[in-house]
Amino acid sequence: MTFINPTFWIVAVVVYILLSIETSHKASLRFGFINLFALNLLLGWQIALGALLGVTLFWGMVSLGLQYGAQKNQNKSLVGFSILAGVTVVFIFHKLNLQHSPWIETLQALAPWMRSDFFLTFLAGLSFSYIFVRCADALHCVFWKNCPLMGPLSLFGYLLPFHMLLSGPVNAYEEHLEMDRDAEPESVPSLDRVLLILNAITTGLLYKFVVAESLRTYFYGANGEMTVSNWGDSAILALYVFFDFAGYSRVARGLGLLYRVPTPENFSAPFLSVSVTDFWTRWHMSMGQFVRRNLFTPIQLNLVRAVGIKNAGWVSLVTMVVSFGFVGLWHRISWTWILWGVAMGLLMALEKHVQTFAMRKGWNRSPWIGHALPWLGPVYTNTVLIISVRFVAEEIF
Amino acid sequence: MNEERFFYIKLKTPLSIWQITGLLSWILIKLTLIASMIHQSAGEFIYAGF
Repeated sequence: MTFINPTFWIVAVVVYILLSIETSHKASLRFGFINLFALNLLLGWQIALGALLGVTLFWGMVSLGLQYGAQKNQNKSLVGFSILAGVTVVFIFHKLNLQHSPWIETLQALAPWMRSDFFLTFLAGLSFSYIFVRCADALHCVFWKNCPLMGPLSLFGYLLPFHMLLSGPVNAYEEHLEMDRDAEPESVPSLDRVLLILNAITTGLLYKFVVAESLRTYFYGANGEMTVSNWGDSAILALYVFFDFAGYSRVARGLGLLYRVPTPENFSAPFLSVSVTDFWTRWHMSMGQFVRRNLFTPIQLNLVRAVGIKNAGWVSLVTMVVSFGFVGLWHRISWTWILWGVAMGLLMALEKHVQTFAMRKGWNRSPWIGHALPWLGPVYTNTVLIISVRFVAEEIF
Repeated sequence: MNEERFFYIKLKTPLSIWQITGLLSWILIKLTLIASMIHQSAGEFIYAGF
């Protein structure tokens, strides 16, 4: 299921037409149902119904957990963590990439009923890493922020939206819930709106199929594989990943705007960032917002409550390292990615200390720094980016 | 919810005829470039199946 496939675009148009039909049902339910139809056409009915079954099981567990939590309020967090732990086990199973491992043969011999060979391919086909973070976001909202639990079909539309299935962005549960509170859209969209949506989609396609692929074919040949053996390769790979991922995200965003399904922005000129901290608010933004909502802010608040505001500096350091350690592990469960995440966390904590120190000294008011930062900042950030890409390059593909 | 962020593309004023013509031309140029390149690409995304 890629954007090069004409079937995808036929399905995309059919989904738009079906969503335009006025009914009395909630927008999230309507999208959930039509999304099931779209996945059925794109991935086949076995995968679509298998995914719906998985989502219904998840919904059932959350629903039961909420009822149990309502009876014994103190156990609500425990129930939430237990369901999250269950989903995390599936995520780890998926990330360990065991399809080709001898371990999977042992597991199949021990428990043939599990059909682990089919299960792992199924999870990879659905890009389970993104579904996992959406599940975590939903659990956080429902168990800790008292958001209502949407029905199984609406939840299906949130967890597996066909236009964001391949590689995100990470949409927020609360924002998906808000779909139902919006007024009915205009039956015929204005020409301006259609043009701007078409502009977003075609720019995304241009990024991927013209810019990213031209970079690849120019440097590595039409059938050449991208390899990283020097710093130049590392810079090319960073550029390639940007145009590949930002292109994909822009197409998904355009379709989200067309369907009126919350689809967040994912990139905002990241190579112009003046610091690594700034960079992570501009690159894979939806993931950064997920980490802030679900890890950084809750961990920081609870730690400050536990150890006191006097230790806020240490709390900030620990929170940064834990949050980015997770981002590293989310990419791949390996020492390289853990070290990458920890290093990013430490670097951002250091940047925060430097910023605080500079503000205390009044350097932020210096006109020289004001002029130099927009030029020197990106040089520093892109140097860090190139070093970090070289570090993890072996494990990107 | 910030509606503008998700459902509407910011349009302070309606597009003029020149802006519409310019945008339409730019979209057509992009589509031509994409059509000329698309056969050379496997169309796979780095983060696909992640």
